[in-house]
Amino acid sequence: MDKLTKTYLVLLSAFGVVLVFGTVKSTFYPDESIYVPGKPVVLYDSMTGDFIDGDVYSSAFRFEVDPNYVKANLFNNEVVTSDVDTPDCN
Amino acid sequence: MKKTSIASFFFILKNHVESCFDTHHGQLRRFPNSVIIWVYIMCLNILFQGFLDLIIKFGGYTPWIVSMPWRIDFLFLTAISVLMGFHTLNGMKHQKLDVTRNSVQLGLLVETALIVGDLHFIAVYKDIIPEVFWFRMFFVGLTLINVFILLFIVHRMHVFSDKQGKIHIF
Repeated sequence: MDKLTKTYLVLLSAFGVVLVFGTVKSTFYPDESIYVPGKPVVLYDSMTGDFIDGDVYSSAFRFEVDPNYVKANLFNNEVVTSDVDTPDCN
Repeated sequence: MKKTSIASFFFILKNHVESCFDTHHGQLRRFPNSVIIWVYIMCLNILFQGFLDLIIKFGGYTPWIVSMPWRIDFLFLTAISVLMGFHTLNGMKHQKLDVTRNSVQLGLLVETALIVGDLHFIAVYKDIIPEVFWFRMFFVGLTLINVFILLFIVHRMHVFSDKQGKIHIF
């Protein structure tokens, strides 16, 4: 039983670290999103400076998303609409 | 055959719990074996979920596990659940078990909030990250087990039946 209690203590310690890291990360380097009304279509991790699972989101919406196009829109707070098959990247 | 195997499983579990917590002494001797066994299962379940949550979170930074957005509020909620599990287990180690109304209510609220948080997460992100559905539905299932265990305790210990508030002080 002591082993189980110790395992719990290890988990609690790990959570302590994660919560501190997560709070700092979420405050200073939040995951940015581009939304169509009410729904995010692209996620961007501002800490790593990269998209969160780029292959996945682009395939989910059945069109190729140009990362540069999305990055440009992300920080201008513009909205990417999903009613186009291929966004105009030029 | 199936009934026998289930019965023998619970028999082994009962013996295990009795040897772990010395259920014939202290406050625990006043509780039915079924309650102690299910609380023990709940503690193991919370421990499992806590580790799995961290593995998935940090696994997202590796090529093998899908990366998901940070949900710091949800992680705090999970930490509360883990903390409650730890204190429950620690108390049982000292032959004590808290089934007061406020404790059970808090447990139910935290577990329900975890389920709601996961369902909301699935609803919002399932189109962007399809893996979210099965990843988080697994957790919803595990958390539901905890909710049912808490409801079983409510039923078995008549936690809400006394309008004055039932407090077990031994």
